[in-house]
Amino acid sequence: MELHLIERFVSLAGREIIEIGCGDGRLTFQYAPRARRVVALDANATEIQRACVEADRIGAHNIRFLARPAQGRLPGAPFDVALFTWSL
Amino acid sequence: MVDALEAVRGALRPRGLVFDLQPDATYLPTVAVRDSRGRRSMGVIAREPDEDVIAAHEARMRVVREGRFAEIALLRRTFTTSFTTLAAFEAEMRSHTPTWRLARGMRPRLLDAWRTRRDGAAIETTMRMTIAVLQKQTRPRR
Repeated sequence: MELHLIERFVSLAGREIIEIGCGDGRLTFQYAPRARRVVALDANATEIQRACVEADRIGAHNIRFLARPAQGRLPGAPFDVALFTWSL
Repeated sequence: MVDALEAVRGALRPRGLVFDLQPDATYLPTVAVRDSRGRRSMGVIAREPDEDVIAAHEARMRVVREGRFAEIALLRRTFTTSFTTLAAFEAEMRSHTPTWRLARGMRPRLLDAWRTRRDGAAIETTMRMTIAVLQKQTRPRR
């Protein structure tokens, strides 16, 4: 549902994307196969650890999960699209 | 919150897009049990005002007002999330502590409905979300 709405405005295929508040990667793993690369941040290290385990399990090599807040200089810039998912 | 949007603005290419998905600040999520007999409503989640959500909406409006982003769309949609185990639903409730709690009398009703469920049952939460689409502006208003 969320991706369907997002892709009404922009195709995520081949895009460089930063996601803020990715949690355990529930949404990330849905769009990452179409993206060029993804940097996904969440301040909750436990959730990021879960996401990393899942990324390894499914071989999602274009996602970089980082346990950190979205402040200051963000790693991996520049990006085409930013996703905030219940996270500000 | 404004800091996060400003950090993202600095990391976006010119005309880059932000999709901001936040729960509606006032909507009360509902809970239902769905199985082969249909959908049975269990009631609403008695949600306290979520200061973080209110602040997120205010931050978005502020960066638009200041010309750092242009708002190109603002949509409201209802999202339903399904949980196939009671434990998964309870984990979701815990993740919203202390702002979410089941309304009075709802827990025994939910447990009873879940105990008597048929194959393929799920607990569903439904809530309204705001989806804002913002575009980076390179020259903020003074």
